[in-house]
Amino acid sequence: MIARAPALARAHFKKGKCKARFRAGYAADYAWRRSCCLPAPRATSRGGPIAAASSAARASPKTCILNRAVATPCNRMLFNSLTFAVFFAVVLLAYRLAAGWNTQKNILLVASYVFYGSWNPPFALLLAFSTSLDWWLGRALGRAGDPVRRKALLVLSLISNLSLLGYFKYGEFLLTSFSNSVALLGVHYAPPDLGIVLPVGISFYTFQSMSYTIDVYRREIKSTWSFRDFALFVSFFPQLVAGPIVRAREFLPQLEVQRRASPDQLGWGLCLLLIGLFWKVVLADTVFAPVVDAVYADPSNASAIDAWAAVFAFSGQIFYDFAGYSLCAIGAALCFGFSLPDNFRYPYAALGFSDFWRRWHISLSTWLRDYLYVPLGGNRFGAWLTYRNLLLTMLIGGLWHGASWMFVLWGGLHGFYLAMERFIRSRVTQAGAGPTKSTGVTILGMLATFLVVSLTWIPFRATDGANAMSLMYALFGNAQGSVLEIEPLALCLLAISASVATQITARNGSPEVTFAALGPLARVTGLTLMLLAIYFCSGGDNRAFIYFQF
Amino acid sequence: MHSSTSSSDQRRPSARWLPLLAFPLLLTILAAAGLEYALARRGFEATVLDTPDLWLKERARATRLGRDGIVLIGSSRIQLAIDLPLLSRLTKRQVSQLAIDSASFVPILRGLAEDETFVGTVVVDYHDVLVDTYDREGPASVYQKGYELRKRGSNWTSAASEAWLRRQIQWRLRAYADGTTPWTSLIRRVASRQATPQYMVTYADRSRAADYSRVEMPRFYFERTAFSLNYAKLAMPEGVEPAVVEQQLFELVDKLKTRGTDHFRQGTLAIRNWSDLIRSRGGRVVFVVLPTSDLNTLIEQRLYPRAQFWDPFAKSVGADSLHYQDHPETRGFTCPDGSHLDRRDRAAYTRAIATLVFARSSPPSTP
Repeated sequence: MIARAPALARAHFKKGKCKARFRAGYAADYAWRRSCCLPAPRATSRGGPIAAASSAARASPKTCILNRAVATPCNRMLFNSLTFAVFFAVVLLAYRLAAGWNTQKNILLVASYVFYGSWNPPFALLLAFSTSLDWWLGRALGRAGDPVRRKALLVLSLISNLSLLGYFKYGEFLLTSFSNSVALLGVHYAPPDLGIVLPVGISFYTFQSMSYTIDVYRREIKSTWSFRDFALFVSFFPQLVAGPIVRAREFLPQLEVQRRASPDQLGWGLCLLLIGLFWKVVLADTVFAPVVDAVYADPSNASAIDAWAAVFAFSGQIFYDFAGYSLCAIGAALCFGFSLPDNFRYPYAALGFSDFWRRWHISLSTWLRDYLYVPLGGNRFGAWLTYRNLLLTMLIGGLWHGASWMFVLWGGLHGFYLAMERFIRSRVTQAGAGPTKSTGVTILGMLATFLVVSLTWIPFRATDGANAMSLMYALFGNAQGSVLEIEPLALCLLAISASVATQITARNGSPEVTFAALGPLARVTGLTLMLLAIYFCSGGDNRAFIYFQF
Repeated sequence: MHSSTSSSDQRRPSARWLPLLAFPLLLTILAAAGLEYALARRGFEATVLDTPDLWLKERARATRLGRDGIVLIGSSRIQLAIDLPLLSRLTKRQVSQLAIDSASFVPILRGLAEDETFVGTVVVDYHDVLVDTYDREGPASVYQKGYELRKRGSNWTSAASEAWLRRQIQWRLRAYADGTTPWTSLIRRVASRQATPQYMVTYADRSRAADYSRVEMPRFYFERTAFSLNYAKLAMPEGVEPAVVEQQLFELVDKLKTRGTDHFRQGTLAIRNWSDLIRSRGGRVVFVVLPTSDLNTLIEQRLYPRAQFWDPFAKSVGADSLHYQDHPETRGFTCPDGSHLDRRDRAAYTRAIATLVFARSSPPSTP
């Protein structure tokens, strides 16, 4: 016989999802799951069988491309790893002590291959093969005068590069898509498990390498005779695995004269590294990622506030993750005396989508513009072909991010927005209306752009269509429960608001000038707070940079 | 700062940046030292961290042990219950701890079964619910996948050096003890007056020992029970009688409904297949139900009554099996939190297991 318990006691129990509480062992387990895109576990290490099953239930089968990419956490030498700190210090010291430019370049080349091979040594051979082929083709292109031969060499370069990319990145995806397609016709075909491991950074270095042969073919640059210089251009470790995608015309000239960072350059490079790490470790991983992971793992139980928070949090996460990586790359390169191009320019202050793509992942968007959109005809053949070209470019740009229809959808949406924007602009121009001069309207336009961009990240982040739809429903649903605690939710919303406001305020300025305008005390305070924040958020796990998968 | 910061030297703000960086660095080192001092004063110690990397190393070792190896799989119960050096001494065999906190034994058993080089003895920390949910992905699947990927990859990667470097630093600093971050240590252990004492130790062999005399009872027990009932939070205001809370928990347990057996039977068949694979190579598999107490025992009985779940499983799985209630050597143990043994019971329980599973030629099967 069970006696009725008093109402007071009933209130002692709060039914709900796991909230991160502090227990031994929990963090290590959590780290593993987090790094593999699995949802947060129950809030205790004392989880018995029911807890384990409950956790397993939420960690439903993941086809998530992120999961695949980081299934071996810490296997890459991340900028936010201790291994990288030691590696970087050793290479920098050797580089500065080395006598002679050739020796310095050799050090950087060996270091770059060690950096890449530390993830999976055999794939360094793949990098070397791709490099050798493009160097040889570039040289042959430089010597060839016959247009047919030149075209044949270019086609050979494109086919070999795209074949490598296609096999390693899209092989299984194509087979699975084929299998699903014929299944619709009633044909059963089980594709073999090829067990292909995606070589980290292959999309970046393939595009970088391809741009070289195309530029040589177009006679925009001269082919280089130095294999070492070309190999260093392709494999330069600060930007090898996640960009910025550097063009040969920007990098090869820097290899002609000795680069040696002055103490101020070195210091500023380290400052950029520090800021990039702060973005990555503190903002992307600590402030935004937990909110994103919790909601995307279980969107059906998320309230509308949770879902909106996750949408904006992912905007913050991917920006600070990727921009943080780019900044680290730029800073690390500067420590050796090299300049890398900007990759981001206040993207969440964009007014419209064409403006967004001038500010987001600039090295990729300009690559797509120069080597895909323009060769397709660009805007030279009328409105409809321009729309087609925009859509095609963005669809391919989406697919570049990963072998998943969700990325294609994301790219297609951006292509559609760009086409629509172009259409509307042309109508507005025909009607004789000019751009608004009202600050309020401009800011509203920026916020609207940010809102649509944020919503469009949903297919990018979702594991599959069902996950994306579930989150979309949650945005306008009325779920009673909540998967988020108030503190991380508030912190995340505050951080994304501050980030957007700052970007809007400073969209036309130069951050370097802003930084230069700070007094010594403000600079020291800012750097100290960032370093302290990195220390306090350290431990737990090293979440892989999202863009390593691409 | 904004993301369009460029490395171009022309746009670099002029300053003596290197000396400027020295101050933040010094201050951070001082903050870290201060936190270590404060944690030491409150009695906290640096600990071994049970990281995925440690598990991966142990998993590789499990295969290398060969026929004489004993591999423990399951979750926290077996991690806390078995004294590895003692079991090793008693059985004169090497023991590997592969249990994963809050995770299922199923993917690990499957991995061992599919590893054709594995020929050792597997002791499984059995739970009915995990057989019932045998085909669900979970953290253990990710560990197993990580192991398979690492097998395909190289032996030396930055993962190995990173793990080594982390061990050198994090296993020596109190701020990272028990797998936490310096921030959490500061907030929960230094700034909080009600910090949970460090009641659990993790050893380098991945086994653990819990000293429940260091935690506040019965709150801890109630929390654990509430957790088993899938309640994430237990707020026990001051002045509420423990009996009231216990009554409430009891009422919740009473509402639990027995699970269906269809999926469980499928799980049993799958597990039998994996177990047979290991046995066909000369290995051995033993399914062990570890002790539970009080409401936690009741919860498991309500959800998975023994007659409908464990008994048919033990009969049909083909491998050896052992339920703690069936043997005087294991029947008398009490779990302070309802689900795990205290460190003072580890040795006795390990001796009991050594006797029941390894000393006898064949352990007595469940009736």
